[in-house]
Amino acid sequence: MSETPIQILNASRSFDGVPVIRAMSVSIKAGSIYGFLGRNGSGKTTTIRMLAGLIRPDAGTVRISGNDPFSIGAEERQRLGYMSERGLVNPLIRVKAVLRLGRDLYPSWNSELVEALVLKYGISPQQRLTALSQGNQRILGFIMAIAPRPSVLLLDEPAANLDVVARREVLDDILELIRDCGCTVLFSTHILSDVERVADEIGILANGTLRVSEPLDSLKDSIRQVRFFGFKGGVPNADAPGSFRTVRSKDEMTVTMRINSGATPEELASRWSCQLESRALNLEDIFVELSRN
Amino acid sequence: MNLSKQFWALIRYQAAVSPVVWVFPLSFCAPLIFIWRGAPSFSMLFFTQNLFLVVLLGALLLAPEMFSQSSTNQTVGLGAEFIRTRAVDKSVLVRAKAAFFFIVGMVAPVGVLLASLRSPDLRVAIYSRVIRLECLRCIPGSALVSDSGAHSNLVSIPLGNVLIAAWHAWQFLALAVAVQVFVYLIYPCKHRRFLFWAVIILVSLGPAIGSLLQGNTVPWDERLFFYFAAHQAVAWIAALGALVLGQAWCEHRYAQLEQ
Repeated sequence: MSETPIQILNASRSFDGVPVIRAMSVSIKAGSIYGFLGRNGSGKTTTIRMLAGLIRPDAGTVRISGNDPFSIGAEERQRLGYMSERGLVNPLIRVKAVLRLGRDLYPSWNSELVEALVLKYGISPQQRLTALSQGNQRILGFIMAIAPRPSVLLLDEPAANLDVVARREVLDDILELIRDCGCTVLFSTHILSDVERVADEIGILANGTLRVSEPLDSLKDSIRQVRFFGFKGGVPNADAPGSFRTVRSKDEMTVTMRINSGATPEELASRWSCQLESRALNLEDIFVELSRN
Repeated sequence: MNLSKQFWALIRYQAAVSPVVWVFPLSFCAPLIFIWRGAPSFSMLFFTQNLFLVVLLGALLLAPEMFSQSSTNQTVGLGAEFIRTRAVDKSVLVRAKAAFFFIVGMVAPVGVLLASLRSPDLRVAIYSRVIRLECLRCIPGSALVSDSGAHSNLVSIPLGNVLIAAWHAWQFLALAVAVQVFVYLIYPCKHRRFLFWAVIILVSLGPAIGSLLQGNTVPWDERLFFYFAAHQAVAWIAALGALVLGQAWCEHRYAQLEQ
C-alpha cells in the first residue's frame, strides 16, 4: 500500500476558461482522515471529482494509490470508495437493486455492515429511493461507498441537503464509521465542527487555491492574528512574510499570519518600531480569514 | 473481477434502474396491427412516427445525465456519476448499456417479425401507379392480383408481411446504432441538450415533411424499402457491421469522456 495514497501535484482545472483549481498540491498519508474545507464554489467538488476519476486536470497530476484515477479499471476501483454530493441514482430504483449491484461488483462487500445500517435506519430493501428520506438516501450512498471496504474513501459533502437534526444523526454515524474503517479518507464540508471532530489533517481551499494543508493542532498553533499599532513612522506598506490577510487602518495594521514563516511578529514589531498584540484563532476564525477574498 | 460478471451485474442494474423504459417496446409494436389485421393500403405499412422514441430511449439509457438540470438536487444526477465510480471497466459499462438499449429497442421489432410468420404473405392495395410498378420491379415474386376489372390495385407479395417486418426491424437496428454513436458524439458538447432535441424533432417530423416535399414520386421511405427488398443481405451485413464498429468507437470514445 502506498504511503500517500492520495496525491495531487500542481493540478489545475478550468471550466469554460474560468480557473476553478489553481496549481494545487497535496499528499495525504495512508490511514489519515483529511477534512477538506472551503466555501461554496471554492473547488472542493472539482478536486474530489478529479480524484474520483470523473474529470481530468488540465495540468499537473492526480494519483490514487499511484494510479491515474481517470484511467483505472474495475480492479483498482475495488479499493476506491466514492460518495457524491449529487443524488445517488434514478429515484425509481429499489434499494435492493442498488445493494445487489454492490454485492455483485465487490467481492469484499461487507454484508454485515450493510444489514446493520439498513436495520438501524429502517431502510426497507423493497422501497424505491424516492420513498426514502434525504437522510436515508445519504446513508445509502454512504453504504455503497464504505461497504466494499475501500482503502481510499472520498466523501463529497456527506451531509449535504440535510436539516440540522438529520445532519447530526447521519454524520455521527458516518464519522464514527470512517474513524474505524482504517482507510484513507478525504471528506469535504463547509461545516467546521464536522472536521474538528474527526480530521487528522485539514486543507482549506479558497478560490481554487489550497491555502493551508496540515494537521489541525499545528494549524491552530501556527496561525495568529497580530495587531501592530503605535507606529512611529506610519503604517508600512509592505506585507508581513507568511501573511494571509492584512487589514490596514490609519494607525494600525492587523495581519493574519503564519508565525513560524520568516520573521516572527516580534521581529516585525521591532523592524517597524511598533507594538503588537497577538491572539490565537479557532478553526472558524482561521477558515474565515483564509477564505475571504 | 471478470468481464462477464460485471456485464451481467450491469444489465440487471440497468433493468431495475429505470422502470419507465419498459413502456417503450409497446409503442414500437404499431406495425403489428397491420401485419395481424391487414393494412388498408401499402403506405400504411410504413409507419415511422414512432421512430423518434428510439432516439429518446437511447438517450434515456445511454446518457440520462443529458437531461439533468442542476448539480445539487437529489434526483437529477440519475446515477451517471454513481455507476461510473463503481468497480466497473468503462468499456464494459458502455457495452452493458448498449446491450440493454438494443434489447429494449429490438424486442418489439423482433416480436413483430416472429408474428409475421403466422401469415407471411401480403395482399395490399397500392393506389399509386408509380409505386405499384416499382414494387413489381423490385420485389421478387410480387404480382398484380387479377380482379374482375381491368385496372387492379391489389398486389400480392409472397412473404410480404415478413419483408415489411424485417424492414421495420432493420430500421430500428440502424437507427439504434446511429443513436448510440450520436449520443456519445455530442456528449462533451456544451449545447448537447439542444442538439439532442433538434434531432428528436428532425426524426419525428422529417418523414412527414419529406413525403410532402416529394410530390407524386415514390416516397423516400418506400424507396428505401424497395432498395432493402432488393438487397437484403447487403443491408443486414451493413447494419451489423455498423453495429460492431459503432460499438467499438463508442467504447473508445466513452473512455476519454469526462462525466
